[in-house]
Amino acid sequence: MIEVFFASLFSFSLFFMYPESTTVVVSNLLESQSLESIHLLLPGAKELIPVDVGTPIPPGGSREISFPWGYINRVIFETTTGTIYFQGSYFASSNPDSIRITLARREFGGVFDRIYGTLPIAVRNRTGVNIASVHARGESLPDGDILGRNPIMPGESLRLWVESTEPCSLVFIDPDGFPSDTLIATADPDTLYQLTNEMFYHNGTHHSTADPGHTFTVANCISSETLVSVEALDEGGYSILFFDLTQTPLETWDRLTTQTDYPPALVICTDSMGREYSLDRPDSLSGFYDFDLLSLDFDFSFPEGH
Amino acid sequence: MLRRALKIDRAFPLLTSEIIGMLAFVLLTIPLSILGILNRTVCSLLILVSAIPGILLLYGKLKSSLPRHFPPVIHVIFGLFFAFVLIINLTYASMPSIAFDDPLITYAVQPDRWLNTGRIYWIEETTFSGFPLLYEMTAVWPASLSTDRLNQLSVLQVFQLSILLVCLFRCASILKVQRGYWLPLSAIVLLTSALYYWCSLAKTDTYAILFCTLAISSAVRQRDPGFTGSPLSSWLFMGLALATKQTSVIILIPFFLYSAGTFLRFSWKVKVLAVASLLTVPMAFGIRTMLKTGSPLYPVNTVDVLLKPGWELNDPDEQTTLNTRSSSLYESRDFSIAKHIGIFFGAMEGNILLLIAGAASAFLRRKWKDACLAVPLFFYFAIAIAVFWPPWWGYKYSILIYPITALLGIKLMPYSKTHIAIVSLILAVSFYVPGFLVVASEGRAFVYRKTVAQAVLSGSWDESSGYRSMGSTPENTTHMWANSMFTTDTVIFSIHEEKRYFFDGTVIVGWRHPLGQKLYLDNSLAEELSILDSLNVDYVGFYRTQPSILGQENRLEILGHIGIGCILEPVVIVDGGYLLCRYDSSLL
Repeated sequence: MIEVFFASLFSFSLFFMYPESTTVVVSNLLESQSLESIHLLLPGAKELIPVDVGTPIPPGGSREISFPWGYINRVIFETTTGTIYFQGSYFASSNPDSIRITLARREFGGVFDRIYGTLPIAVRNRTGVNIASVHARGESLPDGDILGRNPIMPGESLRLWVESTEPCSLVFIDPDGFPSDTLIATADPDTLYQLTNEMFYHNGTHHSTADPGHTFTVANCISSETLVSVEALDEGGYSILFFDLTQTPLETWDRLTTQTDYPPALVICTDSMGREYSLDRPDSLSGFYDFDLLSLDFDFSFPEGH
Repeated sequence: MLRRALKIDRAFPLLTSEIIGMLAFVLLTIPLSILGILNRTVCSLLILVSAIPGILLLYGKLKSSLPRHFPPVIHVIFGLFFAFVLIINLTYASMPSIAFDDPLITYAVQPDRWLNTGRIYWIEETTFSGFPLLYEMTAVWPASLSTDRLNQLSVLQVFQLSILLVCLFRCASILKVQRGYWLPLSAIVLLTSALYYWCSLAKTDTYAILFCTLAISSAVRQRDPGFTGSPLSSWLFMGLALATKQTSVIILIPFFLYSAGTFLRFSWKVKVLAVASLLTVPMAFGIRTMLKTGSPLYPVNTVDVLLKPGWELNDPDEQTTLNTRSSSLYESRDFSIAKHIGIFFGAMEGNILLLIAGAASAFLRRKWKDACLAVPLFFYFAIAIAVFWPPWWGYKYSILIYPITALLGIKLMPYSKTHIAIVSLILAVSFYVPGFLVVASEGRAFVYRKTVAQAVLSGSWDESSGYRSMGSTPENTTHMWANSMFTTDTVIFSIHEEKRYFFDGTVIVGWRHPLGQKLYLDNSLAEELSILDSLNVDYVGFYRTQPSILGQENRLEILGHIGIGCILEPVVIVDGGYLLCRYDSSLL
């Protein structure tokens, strides 16, 4: 009797078992780009899964493609022009399902996937500047910029997919054309590399004073902008240091190391337009007061004179 | 003083001192604006000087109205409860709401900008610069007392709540509600979840509630056989409501039902004066709006044939879908009709209970005429449910009628032990059910209200309550950042987000602006650039990873041109998500 019960249960579960794959109709609704490749990033997966597309899907065309059944973190589409489109949090459930690739699916920012293999190298932009281009060297990687014109903004990430775990070298260029130190990275799904301001400091000049007291460093991490004054305040809001740098302004990536009697409570800089920036603590990575666009002072006050 | 000097009682005997004062200040904005001195210094000085006699009069009145004997215990209990509820509501109102859109799109923006420039002017970037503006002209005065933009929101919010209190006490007086009921009545109204929320926002709702409640209260009072004064007050109040908020128009239904009997008995002269009292103020705003746009009620209920070129509105399909609450987007709230009706009445909380109790009391006491007073309101409810369908969203447009519902209900109850017990029970239910059990509208459980009160009074938010404090939004922070970075003649084109309050320059919300809306049609890139150029756009703002809604990005060719050296060059992401791009059409 019990065997009959289990046999029934087994056949019942077989009947309702989820399929391994499902058919998805991918429609290319872009005007002038063909869809060249499709890759899937599954939950918990350490590698990207390429999907066999065959010949590129032309504009206006569509194709039935087999997807694994269930939740997919990200479906990544690359066009013949190298532009990336994606569908996040996709659940291929019904049979057939569909994905329509339109401008709305474009990779506008956040995470930039560049696919030259299936193993990930992730780099987060922890600098204060936009990254205008990325030059990579390594197995399977092309020469020249791999990013395109849309920059990696502060807080955003590059996810470079490569073929092997051989080390790759990456150089990031800021909007002024200043290159970063070379980042040597190997594919590892558990590692997030950090691109920091420090990696750009070599582009600037390091000014310093050598007085006794507490030493701190101010760095200009604002693209195409100069800092013309540096002031340090104590806890009571009193000025304990002031540098007028009008004659020798701090250019982008320049640093100034100086001293005060005790650690400043606030460091204020002024740019060439008279705008004030302030920081109450040094950057946790560099240990310097890295002034960037987000250090700009702003508040709830009415416009001046009102 | 004005009442006596202008003999206002002869024409409008129910026009209260507070309303006369507020209307006087509204009128004062016009000469100040013409002189270009409608600024924070002049307005705050005028309001402070004008307040001195008011404070002295109020002090004298309070002193003379103090009871000579210790009041009954039940009055003390009601008083303490009212004070407790008032603190809960006042603390909530004082906490500036900087996430909610409406005040930051227009209602707080207009008084702010007028005070900045010293004059009332048509703010070109918003379609809401036209009809009606009575609230905005009033709000200039409390706004002038603020110290910064955040404080200004707080002041305007507290002003709203004070308006609700004026509304309750004055209308209770007009309707001759027993004084012993005033405090429990006010507590029941203030406890209403919907009023707790909507009457603490820096927008027109409470001001419209004030005039709608005054209009119906006066209309009811004017029906009294003993009322012998001029019957024009109610008509003026209704006109002021229409000049405050367009959705007040639906209140005309109960208003006409309450006024019809007396109106038909008026002489022709009085009939004309009544209609003139109703229409004069809204017409002034309507004419101004018509001169500018062609359509008197622009941008709502526009008369297309009258519209001047450049003012035609073509709401993008995506926004229409999003704003149509019965659309497929809101499938999960496609409730049964019974549940919808339940939500409508449930959201009224203690107010509807008072009306039912009052009507039932009158019915049981065979006071048929009194019981019939509730009928026009139920007629209104039926129409409001249909007009503002579905009620899970549309209930909020009926908050205009909540206080008068409570007031009429309590008016129908004689002051007796039985009825005091009934009112006490309704008060207990109004506190306990929405505060601890269930709420039909957007809930504000008592734990939340307590957390807000504690936070405002102590200065720190209790995270253990499970509630998060109201934060700002990335676009607000971006606008403040942009104030420091750019000059005040900068124009930001916002693809979807609507707020503009915190920016010194101009924010054009693309899908709201008559010219910007054309961008969302099926245009070529060149046509899109031509539209943006015509608006003198310097920057374009949107959320970095999702620029718009419902796939609207597909209509915006320009979004395919984001990058360094491109038409849209990313400048900064503020507060983790909102992107500002420098716009330059020459980089095509």
